[in-house]
Order: sequence, then C-alpha cells, then structure tokens
Amino acid sequence: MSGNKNDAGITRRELLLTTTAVSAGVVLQGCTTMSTPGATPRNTMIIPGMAELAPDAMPKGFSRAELERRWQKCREWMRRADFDVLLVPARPEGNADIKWLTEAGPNWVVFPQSGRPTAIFRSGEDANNFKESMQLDMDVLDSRLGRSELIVQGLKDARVTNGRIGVGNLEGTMRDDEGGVSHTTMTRLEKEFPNVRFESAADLLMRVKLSRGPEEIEVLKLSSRVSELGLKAIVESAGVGVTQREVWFQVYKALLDASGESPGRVSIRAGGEGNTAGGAPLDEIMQGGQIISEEISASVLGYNSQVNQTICVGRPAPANFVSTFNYNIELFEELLEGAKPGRSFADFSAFYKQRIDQWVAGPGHGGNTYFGVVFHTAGASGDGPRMGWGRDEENSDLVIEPGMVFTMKPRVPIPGVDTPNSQIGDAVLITDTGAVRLGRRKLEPITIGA
Amino acid sequence: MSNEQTRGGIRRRDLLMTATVASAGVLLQGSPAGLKAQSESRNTMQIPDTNELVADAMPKGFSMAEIQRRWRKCREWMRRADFDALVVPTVPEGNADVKWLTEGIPDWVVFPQQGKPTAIFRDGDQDSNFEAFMKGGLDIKASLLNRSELIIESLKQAGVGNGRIGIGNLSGTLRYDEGGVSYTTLSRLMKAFPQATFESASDLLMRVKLARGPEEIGALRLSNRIGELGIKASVEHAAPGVPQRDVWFQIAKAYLDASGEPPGRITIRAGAEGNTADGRPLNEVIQAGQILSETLSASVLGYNCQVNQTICVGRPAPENWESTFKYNIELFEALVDWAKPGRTFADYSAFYMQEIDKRIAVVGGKPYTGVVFHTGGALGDGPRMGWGRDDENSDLVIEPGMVFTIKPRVPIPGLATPSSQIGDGVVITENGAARLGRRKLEPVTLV
Repeated sequence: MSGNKNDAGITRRELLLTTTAVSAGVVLQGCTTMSTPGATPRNTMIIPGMAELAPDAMPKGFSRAELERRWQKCREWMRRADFDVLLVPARPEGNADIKWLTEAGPNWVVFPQSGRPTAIFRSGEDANNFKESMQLDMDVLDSRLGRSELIVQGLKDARVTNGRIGVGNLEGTMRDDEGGVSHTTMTRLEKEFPNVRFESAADLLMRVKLSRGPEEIEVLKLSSRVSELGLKAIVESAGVGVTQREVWFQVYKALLDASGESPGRVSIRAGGEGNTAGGAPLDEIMQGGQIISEEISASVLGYNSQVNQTICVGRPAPANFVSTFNYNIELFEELLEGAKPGRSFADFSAFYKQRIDQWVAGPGHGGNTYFGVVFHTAGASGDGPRMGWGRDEENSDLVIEPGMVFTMKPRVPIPGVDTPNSQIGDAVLITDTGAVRLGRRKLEPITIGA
Repeated sequence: MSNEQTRGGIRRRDLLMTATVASAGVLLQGSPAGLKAQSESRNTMQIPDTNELVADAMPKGFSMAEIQRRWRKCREWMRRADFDALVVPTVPEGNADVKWLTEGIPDWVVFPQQGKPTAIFRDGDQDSNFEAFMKGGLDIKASLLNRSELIIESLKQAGVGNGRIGIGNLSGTLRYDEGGVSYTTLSRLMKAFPQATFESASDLLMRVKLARGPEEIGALRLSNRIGELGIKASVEHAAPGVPQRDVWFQIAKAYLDASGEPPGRITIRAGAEGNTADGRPLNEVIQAGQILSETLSASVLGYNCQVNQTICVGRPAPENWESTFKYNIELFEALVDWAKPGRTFADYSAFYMQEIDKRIAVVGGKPYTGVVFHTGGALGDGPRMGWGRDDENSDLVIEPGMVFTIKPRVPIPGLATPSSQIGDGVVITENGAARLGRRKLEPVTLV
C-alpha cells in the first residue's frame, strides 16, 4: 500500500506540526548506544519519548517552501545534466520520483527547466482534488485513455521541439536496469518529436533526492522512532509457540497506531532472515532458541526509515548469540564513527567487509560474509540506492554527503547458527561532521522471556 | 504489501484442502439473499459457518493439474490468436498474468506455443519451492542485469525468432491503455528479432483467465466468505467517535486471522464512498448517522473476491437510508437473476442503468456510472464492467465459470455521499449466477 496521500480530499497540507517538539539530540545524550551489553531475559523494551508518537502529533504534510526547495534543486541538477525537460512516469513498485516532485499521485509529470510543470492524471476526480490542494502552480490534465497525447501537449506547452529530455524509469533504475517506462508511450513520443533526444533520467531522479531537506529529515527521524516501536512490539508479543503472523500483526498495529499510516515494510521471520518472509505474515510457529530477524519501517508522510534488530526467542539461546550481538554493536558503532562526508560508499562497504572477514576468521567462528545491503537509503517507496560490498551497480561512485539519511544494518554470522545472521539496523543522518543516529533504543542483546 | 507468498521456503504447493469442505449452495438455500429486509439496530452480524474460516484450514496452493489446465487453455487461445509465443512481464501494480501462468514471481515468462516455458528471475529472487513444484516443466533463468538477453535466449531456444510474439502489458491493459512494458527491453527484443512481429497480448491474457477452473472457483468462494468477515468487523467496531483507522485495522486483523494472507483491499470511509480512502487507514473520526461505505477483499492464495455493504453508524440515520438500502437489495437480486450465460456485459450494464433511471425518476439523485461488475481474481485481473465503460466492457459475454462481484450503487435521496451499495461475488453456472457470500442482506444501522 502506498504511503502517498494525495486524493479524495484527505487534508495534508499543513506545515510540519510536531517534529521539533522534542530534540532527539537531548534524548540521545541520555541513551548512548555505547551501553554495556547484557542478555537479560525480558518482555518489553524501553524507548525514550514513546508517548510523543501518536497520529495526532504527526506532521500533516510538507510545506510549500519544501516543494519549492525540491523544484529549485531539481532544476539545478537538470541544468548540470543538460536536460531541458524531465518526463517522470508513475512507478507502481515505488513512486518516489513523482511523490518528491508533487506530493501527489499523477501518472506522469512533465517538468521543464523553466515554466509550469504539468501533472497528468488518469482520473478526473483525482485531477480535481489535486487542483484544490496543490501548493505550487502546475497545469493539471486528465484522461482515461491516450495519455501520451497529454504528454505531447505538455511538452508543446513547454515549447520543446528539440533538445534533450530526461525520462524517468527509462533504464538504470534501481533493481531494474532496463526500467519500466511504457514502450507504447515512448514510441509515440519519439514519433511526435523526431528532433528530441530522449535519455534516461533515472539516476538523476534517484540522486537528487539523497541529500534531504530539513522537513524530510524531521519526517525520517519520526519514521525511525516509530519503527523502533515495531521492535518493541516484537519483544512484547513474540514467544515460544507463538505464530509469526501474530507478531507481524502486533508490529503492524504498533506502527499504524503511532503514525496513522500503513507501515512501509513489516517482514519478520524466526529461524530465517527477516527479508525471506517477503513482507508476508507467516503461519510458522516460533521455537525456543530461534533468532527473530526483521526489516521494519514505519511510514510518516510516506517516508520510511528501516530498523533491524535480531532478538532471541526464549531458551536455550544459541551459544554464540550474545557474543555475536555484542560484536554487532561494536561494528555498528564503528560504522557510525566512520560515516563522514566525502567518504565513498565503495570504501565504506569495503571497511564493513574487512571487519566481517576478521570476525569470520576468529577462533571457532566461521560463516559466510554477507554481500547484501548494509546501507539502505531512507525515503519514500522506490527511493534508493541500497549499498554494500559487491553491489557496484548501485554503489558505483556515490559519496557520503551531509543531509543523507540511511539505515546502517550490518549483519554478522552467528557461529553455530545457520540462519539468520545477527543484525542491528538504525538510521543515521549525515551532518557536516559525521553521522547521528536517529533511533533512541538502547542497543543490547535481547532474549525474550525465560 | 504483496499478496504473493513466494520466497524463502514458504510452502504453498499442496493441493487445495478445504474449498469443498462445506457447500455454499446448501447454506444459500437456508439463507436466501431475497429474505425480506428489516432494519434493526445491532452490533454484530451473523454469518453461517464462519468457524470454518481459519488460516490452518485454507488451501496451501494450486495443484500441478491446475497449472497444466491453465497452460493448455492458454495455448489453445494462442493458437486461435496466431501467437507463436507470449512474452509476459511482471506488472508491479497487479501481477495476475505471471501469477496465473506460474504461481510464482518471475520477472518475465517466455511462454511458447510448444515446448518448455521459461521463467526469468532477477538474480536472488528464485524460489527453491517454485523449482521443486515445477519439477523441470519450466526452464528457470536468472540475472541481476540485462534480463532482455535472457528473454532473447529463450525466444531463440523456442525457435520463434521469425514468428508472431504476443507481449503482455504492451497496450490495451486494464486501466492503462498504453501499457507499461519496458521500452528498453522491448526495443532490444525488436532489434534482436527484426523478422518477428510483436503485438499486444494484454487482452488475451486478461480474457483467457475469465472462465475459472474448479480450484480457482474454490479459492474465490473462500475469499468471498472471508470478505464478509470484514463487513462483520465493520459492524462490530464502527461507532460514533471511533477513528476510521481503528475499524480498518480490525478488518485487516479479521482477514489475516481467517486466511493467513494480507488482505487484497480494505478501503473504507464514513461519510463518503469507500474507494475514496484509496486503501488507507484514515484518521477521520466517525460521526453519528454517517453511512460507512467500503470496498473489501480478502486474499486466498492471492485471489480476491470483493464485497461491499453500506452501513449506517448510529442515529439519527438519514431519512431515506433504510428505504434506499431495501431497494438496493431488490436491485442486487434482479442483477443476480439477470446474469445468464450468453448475455453481454454491455446489455447487463444497460439493464442496471435502466433500473437506476427508473428509481431516480421517482426519488431523484444522480446515477452512478462506475464499476458495477468487478472481476474476481488476482491483483491486476479485470475487467471492471459498468455503464459507460465501453473500453473495458466492449464485446464481453457472460460465460460459465466467470466469477465477479455484482455491486450496484443507489443514490440515497437527501445525502450527497456515499451511495447505498451492496456487493457480493457470484459464480456463473450453466443456468445463471450463484451468490458466493452467505450473509443475510438487510439494512444495518448500528446502535
């Protein structure tokens, strides 16, 4: 389900309401991640400031100033890339591009270097709702059929007859290098504008969003904090003999109750990596001593920030669970220290791999190095990239910059446990001097119940 | 959230287990939809045999015989349409085509008229259970990048490089006439096979699924019955002062508990049409006397059959609420009776419009010209039929095996929004339509 709120007259145009009510920094000082780890059995998790996390206290929308900031930035990047216009299609599997430009759900946006953009809707009702709520001037068109004709009209209105047009989702899209823009639509546009060069703007549209504005950062902070309530819900509802879908449901409810929005992702599994559940509530029953792994992200204004923490269910805990998790904490802290502006993600990923190789080579350790995602970009569904060792197609030349928000989620193999790995994940904000953690929970090994 | 349970060793390959445990027909006889309507204030809804609806009793997968039935049927349709092969892409907004051909989640399927099909995955997305289920009846390929190369390789293996190739989602796709198949991928295929003809197979892929097999009907029947538990949850949890998201959540829980799968769709709203909530749990607070409208579908093996029923929350009820709902029942019954094999959906839609026009001539209001007949199936299945929807209705004829929700809306005089609505799935038999739901149709006004 999309986190975008856009049609049907659901009000979301007020300024950010509450995100500065409490300074995360103040609480973080009192809740350092450098705590001494201990594996005390428990059935709850104390997280500072939880009472603040309720739908009424959530922001109701991004401001006009924020949208102006995005447009200005996008046009600056277009100038650098020599694009006269961007054509941005909806991406059903994650509509971050359109959302970022409009905070709504048109099917296409024609976004010229100068002049009014055009939003193209399928539904006349959606178009009318958008007209009533849009904060910046756009031309709004709608048609159930033949939408390429409206794109042609939008391009003609922008006086584009030749030049260079950037097309979103054409190719080089995250997780889909051949993209998903409609062949029928593109063929019609090429026929209509034979002197125009159409080139992929997928990379530009991903990267332009990476360094976030102040309102986006506040929303992602809230998403991180609400996501931690999902971990709390696991600790409180998981147990030996409990069906995993019951836990899934409690996590879902905790996130919904806190933000008022459907979660971005709830993927939980005991005895397997969390992502292998594919977001589905499983009927598997939890066994004593299993490790729960998960990927959880709450949604606030459609922005998601993932958290992860492996948790042991009951006893007997695997012999190396606590020691591995303690190493996981150390590694997370090292990565937090190492996240400095100017450092490349390729280097950062290599550092992670080196530390894992050291762990795997330790006495009695062993295990496989994880080659998956370690640095997971926060944002709307469809935002990316996902960085880690061996992911050159997504890392490439990307450099850490102030304003970036991403989850660091190192995995460490647990000696003697086939699956899952130990994992800690929490989002960080990159400042001019380094990374600041957005979550507030104390990082420590947790074994549920006795 | 995807409804498809696929990866990481989640078993779903057993035969249908329970779809025939209880005969809906028997219970329908005891609970005819034509019962005399009465309005009474109550906060629960009695539905026969809800105790059967639990996750453990749900079917765990479609059988290989069912997959083979689909492949045979698809090839028969391909022969008629003169397609040598189909190239079927994932459709992120509704992956019914790929699901129907594989009950897996490859990114692309190359499905030749003869020989083994190929399922092409993004590297890492392969499912060992899928491979075991297919038992070599299908080639599996994977790559992180350049998947068009694998499609090209598969088409060459099938020997159809000079043939007529049907492309899914190319154009004429439900709700998206210009389709969404990748420009980059298809351009590479066209370059690799300059002698081949590439044409849209969207319509074929939609229509070939419409007359369902017995296992599919079993899953849709269960989906419909679980769908009704969402209406029951609305009745039990909606009240003046309650945030709509709390009701949304209780419906989601009812579905998850009953089917073990995330719901297909839960979109509810008090004081407006349910579909305007667009599937989101709203923070709006329900007011006394508001009409709660909803579009609900539970998922069973990824198959959804929509149900709808407007409910009045608390008093004072709008003056014409009850009389309108009673008329809505009559109209629903008339539409169930009308649905006979061989009749066109264009005529069917005209019949609905004629009845609504007669009503409006007496009591006023605006006729609804949206979807009245909503195809049951996987996410992305269609079409959606109704008056003024010729682009989806066109020449479609009612056939045995079709499953769709009949969901007439009737404007409530004096109330701007929502309309009164009843929706329930039907299966078309040789003689006509049989309702899949079991709830008694009557106006419900909550205390």
